[in-house]
Amino acid sequence: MSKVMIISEKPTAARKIAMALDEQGSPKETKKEKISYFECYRGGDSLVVVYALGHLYELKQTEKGWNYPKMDMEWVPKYEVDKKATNIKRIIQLISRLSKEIDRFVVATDYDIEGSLIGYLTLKYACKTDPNQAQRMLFSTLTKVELESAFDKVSPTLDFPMIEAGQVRHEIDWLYGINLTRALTLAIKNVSGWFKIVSTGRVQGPSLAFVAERNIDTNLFVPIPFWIINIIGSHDGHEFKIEYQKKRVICKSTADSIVSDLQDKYATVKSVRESIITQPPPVPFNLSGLQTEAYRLFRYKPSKTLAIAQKLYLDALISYPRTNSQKIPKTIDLKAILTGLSSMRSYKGIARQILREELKPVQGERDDPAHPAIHPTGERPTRRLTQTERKLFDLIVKRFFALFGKPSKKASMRVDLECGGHGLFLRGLRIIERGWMEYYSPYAYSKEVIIPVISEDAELQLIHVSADEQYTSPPARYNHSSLLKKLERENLGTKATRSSIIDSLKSRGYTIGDNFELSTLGYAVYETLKQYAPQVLSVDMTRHLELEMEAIQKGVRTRNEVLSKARRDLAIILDDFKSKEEMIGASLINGLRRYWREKEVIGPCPKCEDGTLMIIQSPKTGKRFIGCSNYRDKKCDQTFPLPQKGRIVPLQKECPFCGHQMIKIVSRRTWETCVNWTKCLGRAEDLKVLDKKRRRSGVNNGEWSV
Amino acid sequence: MESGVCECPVCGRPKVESGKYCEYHSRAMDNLKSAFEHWKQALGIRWEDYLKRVQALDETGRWVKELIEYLIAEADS
Ligand SMILES: [Zn+2]
Repeated sequence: MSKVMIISEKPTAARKIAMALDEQGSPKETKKEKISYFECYRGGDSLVVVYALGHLYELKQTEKGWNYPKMDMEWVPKYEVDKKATNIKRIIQLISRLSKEIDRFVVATDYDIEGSLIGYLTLKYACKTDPNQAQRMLFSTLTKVELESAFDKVSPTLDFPMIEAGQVRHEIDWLYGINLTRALTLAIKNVSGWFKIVSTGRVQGPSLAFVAERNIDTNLFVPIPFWIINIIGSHDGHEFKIEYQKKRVICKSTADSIVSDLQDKYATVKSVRESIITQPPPVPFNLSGLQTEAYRLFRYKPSKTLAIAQKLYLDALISYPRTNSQKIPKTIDLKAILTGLSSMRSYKGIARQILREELKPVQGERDDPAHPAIHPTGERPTRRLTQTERKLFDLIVKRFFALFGKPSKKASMRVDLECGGHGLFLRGLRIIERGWMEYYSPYAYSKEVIIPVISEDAELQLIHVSADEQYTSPPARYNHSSLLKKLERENLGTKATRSSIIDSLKSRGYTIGDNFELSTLGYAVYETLKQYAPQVLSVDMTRHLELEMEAIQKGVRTRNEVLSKARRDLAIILDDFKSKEEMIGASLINGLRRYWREKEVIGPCPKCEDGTLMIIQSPKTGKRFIGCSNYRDKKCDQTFPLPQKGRIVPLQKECPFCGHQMIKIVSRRTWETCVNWTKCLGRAEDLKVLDKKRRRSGVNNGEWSV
Repeated sequence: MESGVCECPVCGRPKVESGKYCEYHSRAMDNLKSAFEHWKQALGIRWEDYLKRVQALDETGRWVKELIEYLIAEADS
């Protein structure tokens, strides 16, 4: 009997694996301080199933100092970098302890770049074993059948090219993120003395540029008027919409004369043409296809769709969702899946109907070496799904059904008309055979436009004609779904990282709202980078890296080659940056000032690292004071009193007596002081004047308060 | 910072070289002028009326609206 350790990625996956592999189907769970592991038996071997919580290790710089360039890093336990990651410490300790008695290690994390890297780092640093001796379970669903087969036919080695590619991406992201963020932040600090973290990164830079450029186009847009001719015709007692030959008329007087030419006249039918359009079924879902469709139908953000799909995967209801593939390979047991689905009440009818015919699903173009397209496993939910989970699951099942449907057939009809020298036409669309649309209901979209049967030379009365004034529209701002597609088209980031990069634009304060409106801070960072370090905004650098990563996976390039090249490129960017630091700092400071002015921000907080001082109205007393932006999160308690009258204008200078930021109070008596004025020794005069005024009025009207 | 000769009179950003406005408001001015040609052809409209109509439209960009506000205020004073 040998002792085997199986390393999975998440607690739910560990449980599924243990349940599937234990011969009795009842593994023993040992739980201590919120973390657990499973023990089971199979084929005379004793198995220990443990889990990571995503990444257990992160990169950290090897030398000390918050400056740049910093080119050397090492993997350290995540809790050393992120103080909140206390669970990670216990997990690492548990895995280390258990791995002492292990004869054989098997990695069973998700089969993709990140999963492979997680397995590798856990083996190397937590188990302290040689990853070259470890084995790999490969699976795309967490069903019992697939997990058993993945274990019994375990792959003898890890996928090292995949691991190397994953590692190099972390390393390069770390290098660019750390160094560029420090370069921006220190440019501000060295010029003004303020400490305000301004971040950018390898994918975040180009993403910011897409959003900024679209915003700029929208902000500069001048609409132009045009007219649409609306015509309602009548034939045999039916009324229907007729279109004018030109979609848009660009001059009002022309539009007016068209209306008077057509009003109450008869139009003659010149020709009637009908054509049949066949539309094949939609292709299988890859992650971005699913995200786009879930946004179109349910308005789910891509990150939300991914999170829900991940849960459905961990419940073994669907296959692995982080896939690029639009293919359902032959190895998948379609009959078993459809039979499984036919046991569910809502899917019984269609599943049985499909089972009666030859099972040949339609295939898409895109492929993924590790996983098939997203599809249901045929298993029943073992818990009550939430409403959002149910909707997404239903969409995935219906799309899977649609793959087996026949092409849909529609008849498209065009009737050309003539009236007083003007060309007009009618268009109709009729569904002849619903085909796959039947299976994809209610998600298939097709609007029927029924028009009457008309023969050539027939006459139609134009009973209503008008010219509708409209304006050209600005380019649409990005939404989550369109930005995701843009990143995908530009080959930026990966299916696993895109959603979180999109979310980060908002969480860093660069964009506002769901329409990605750029904030003043966003403009400041974009403008500064565009002028002084345009490479950081360009897609070229990142696209190049994605190609290098692919080359590593194919074994054409080594990680060291790619990493050294990235270091050399970054060093050039940073050198150039340093030489322009003063201008970069000044440009960012100007932008930050505009940003703060809009947000009633006074300046950086002198007490904490990343807060900003802002004017706050006390909800209790209604009095205003200066507080730190981290006040709400209870991270900083810095406050300063404020005079209650007059407009507060932050000044770009420091108090010569105490070094605090200066402000101007604009009222009948405009005066300058520092935020620390009630305590500053140099400001005693100001206090005296206010005190005198207060005594003269005889009441304490709360001239200042904290 | 008080407004100085090198700042755009509309927004306070730095002016472009040998121009009156910042980069964005200069581009807004270019767009406003070229769109006016279309408006003239479409409606035979005067510049002043054109500005008022464009300013009232939802489709008009933010920087264009800021510029029009400035142009109207400047014409009034
Ligand atoms: Zn301007």
